[in-house]
Amino acid sequence: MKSSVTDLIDNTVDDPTQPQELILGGQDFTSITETVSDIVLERKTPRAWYIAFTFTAGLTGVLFLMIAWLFIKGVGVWGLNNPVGWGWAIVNFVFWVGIGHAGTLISAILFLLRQKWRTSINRFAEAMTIFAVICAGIFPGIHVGRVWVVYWLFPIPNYHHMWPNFRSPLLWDVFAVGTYATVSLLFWYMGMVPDLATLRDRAKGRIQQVVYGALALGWRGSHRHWHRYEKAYLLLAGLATPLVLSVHSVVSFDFATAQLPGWHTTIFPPYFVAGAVFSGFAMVGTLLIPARQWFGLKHIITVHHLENMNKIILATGSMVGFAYATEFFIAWYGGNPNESFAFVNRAFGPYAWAYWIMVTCNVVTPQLFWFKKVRTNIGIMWVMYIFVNIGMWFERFVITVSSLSRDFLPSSWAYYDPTMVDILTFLGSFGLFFTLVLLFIRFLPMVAMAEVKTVMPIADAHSGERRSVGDYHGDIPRHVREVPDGGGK
Amino acid sequence: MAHHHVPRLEDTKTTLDGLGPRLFAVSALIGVIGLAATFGLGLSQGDGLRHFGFSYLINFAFFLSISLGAMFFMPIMYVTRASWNVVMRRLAEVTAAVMPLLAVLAIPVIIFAGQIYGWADPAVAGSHAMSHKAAYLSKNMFILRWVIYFCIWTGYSWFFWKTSVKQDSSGDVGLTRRLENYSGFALMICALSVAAASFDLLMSINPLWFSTMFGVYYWAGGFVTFWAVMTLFTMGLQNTGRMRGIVTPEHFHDYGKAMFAFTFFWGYIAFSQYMLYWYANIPEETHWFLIRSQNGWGMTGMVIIFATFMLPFAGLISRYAKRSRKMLAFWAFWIIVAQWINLYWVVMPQFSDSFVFSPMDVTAFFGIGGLWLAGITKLAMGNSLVPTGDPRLEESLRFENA
Repeated sequence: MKSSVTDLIDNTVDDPTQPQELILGGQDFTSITETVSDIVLERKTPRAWYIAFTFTAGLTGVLFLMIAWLFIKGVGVWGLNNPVGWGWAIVNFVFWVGIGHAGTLISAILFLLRQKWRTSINRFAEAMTIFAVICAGIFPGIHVGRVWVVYWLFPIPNYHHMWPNFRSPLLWDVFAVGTYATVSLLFWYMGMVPDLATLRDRAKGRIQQVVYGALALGWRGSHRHWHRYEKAYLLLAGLATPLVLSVHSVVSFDFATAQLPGWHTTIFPPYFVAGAVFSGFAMVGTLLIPARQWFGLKHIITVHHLENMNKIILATGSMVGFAYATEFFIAWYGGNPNESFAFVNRAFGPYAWAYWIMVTCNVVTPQLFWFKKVRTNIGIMWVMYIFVNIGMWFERFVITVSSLSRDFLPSSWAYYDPTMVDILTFLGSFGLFFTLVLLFIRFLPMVAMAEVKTVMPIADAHSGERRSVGDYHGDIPRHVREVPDGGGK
Repeated sequence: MAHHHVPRLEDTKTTLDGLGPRLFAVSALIGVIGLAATFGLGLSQGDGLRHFGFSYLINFAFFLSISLGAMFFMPIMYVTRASWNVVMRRLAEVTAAVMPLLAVLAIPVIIFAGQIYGWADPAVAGSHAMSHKAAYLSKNMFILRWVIYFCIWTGYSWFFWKTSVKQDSSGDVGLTRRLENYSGFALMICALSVAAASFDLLMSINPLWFSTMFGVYYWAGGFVTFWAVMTLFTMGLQNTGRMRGIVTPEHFHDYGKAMFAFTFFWGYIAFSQYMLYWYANIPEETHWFLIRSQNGWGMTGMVIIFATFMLPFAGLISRYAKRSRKMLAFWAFWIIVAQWINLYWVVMPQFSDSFVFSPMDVTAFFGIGGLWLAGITKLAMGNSLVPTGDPRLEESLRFENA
């Protein structure tokens, strides 16, 4: 027995003559509001949430313990050696920054491209972006050695008249990631204002009313408010679009400006951006699939949405594969023996295991998304997302460690092994990430209610013949009417 | 408001009819005269047609890049299920389908390869730095690869064009599905073949230089030029009373957005390629930029920074500019010229260390461009200028840029 309307209706059918409905199950404006805001306001927090929160908060504790240990003992507690002076810290940094990119792509670029399906997933992706950037920001911060002067990264006047080295790509990172975090936060918050006002108006508790009321900035939904909101949204989308490219390009400069074989190649900026979007979508998917299941959002975040995400994963995964191939070709074509050695060493040297994990997870398995059966199978796609997450972490590991561990001077070669502190710090960062995600799910609207409503058929005053007409509250899309047993909520 | 008035195909002319043979004859004539003049000027140089070879290569690479841009455009629109572009898609289809003619036009590049490409020089080919790739960069392999590229590109672009034309009469939705199914694969083929071809066509002029970004760089330039050319094609046809009222400011606004976006993208790619080599400062990599930054080529490079990136970026940023017919035409024309200068700067410094410019460069532009346009006209003549059977045409006609 199929349990819900989304199991009965297949909105992934590709029919050029009739666009598929994005929101299923005979929803109207009220039901969307109720579905989303009740998770925050009405429904009792599931016990599973408390269990999960306890676990992730514990992991976050591990993260802070490890950081404290690092501060007490110094970076010697990590597995760094000579020549591998950059280990998991930079790998984790790049991994987490990359994760964030899906949010910005969905909220900014897909908005500019008028991709209506983004509305069901953009809030979640944007939130995830901010949490990922928080996790990312920790790693370079704790890696500087003398953490008590970490503020020297910023060009602020100080008593030593010390200025940061503006020629260093690591400093460019400070600005790139800082700008990115700021704009992402603004975009996320500003987009949430109408929904926060909805929560304010529906809240019954005094504390909730005051808190959501303050966050809603006096939103009353007047035409003037909407007018300014949409203008600001468009402008922020325009400003955030170059940031999708710039942040991971600057991160790639950390490697590509160096003269180290395997790092110094011109395709790095767009290749890193593609990889970032790739990993970000996989992480959004990893989180969305359980969330839509547990919180009854399957009719809002439908298989159609997930299929679209899988197509983007296929596209960006293939771009990453293209970059791998180009790098290999040019390493041979360029005729620099150090360069070709670096690539052969990656594939067949001591880190071959990591390299082939990377290739399998990033290039090979995503190709399964060519098949519609795979793209629309929830279980398989979730496993594929996990593969992509693994693959993209290994990509950064391969780039960073394989090039460093065997540099120009064979006498200084060394194999890099992480310590327990490295491993626990990384696991701890997942704890922080998931803790923030859980808090977000519990206290903020997971789906952009106001935006979802705009893509529903009933929002279209000029709905043409292909849309079923209905009155403002009772519109039932044709798909649902045609389901034999009524579909039933 | 467009709400109340959906444009109809019946209200305008959607075939070339009388214009076709005239446009074909004039552009073919310009092409033949242009090539003959280039050849004559080349002979008069007395350098064994070396300068001719370079002038020819620039313009061949330029028009090829536009058709490759069109080739990329078709599957990307199918794969994203986009509808707004349907009304102008036939123009892109014929621009891509002119591939067999470009294959013929590639023959002089192969004939004059000895004068153009460093690897064809026995002294270079025999050097230590070249020894490992001498077989790859040999004339036979070069020819073989070009045969493969053009087989792929012709098959690919004709498949899209022919299928779309077939749909004009049948209106079979299955054909759209068929193209959608092949589009993802087509894009992959496109990426690999264009990158490999750009290494052969332009990067290997100096066989010792290499850049992983080069394929993207060539493609990005071609794609932005493609949009500029589409703008001028559409406006030109409208000026003769064709496609009027069906390609509206709403569509032109999107042409403008595409030009704006890919102007930026091109700038991003060009900057990344230059900056990374400049920063690391490794002689094996910087020599390519070194000859391009002195003796007049540096000034050309400066012009490129402003002409291909900064000025069109500023010029196309506003909604007003994208919806104003005159301004959009101006920037489309500008981008075509600027991207041509960019290719000139990529190719010509390999001919001469100091800045040169010859009337040959311009006559070759009209020579190849004339024949290219004649070829496109010929392909466009038999059929409608609009894919009348496309299931998304209706949606495209009522498209609004919210």
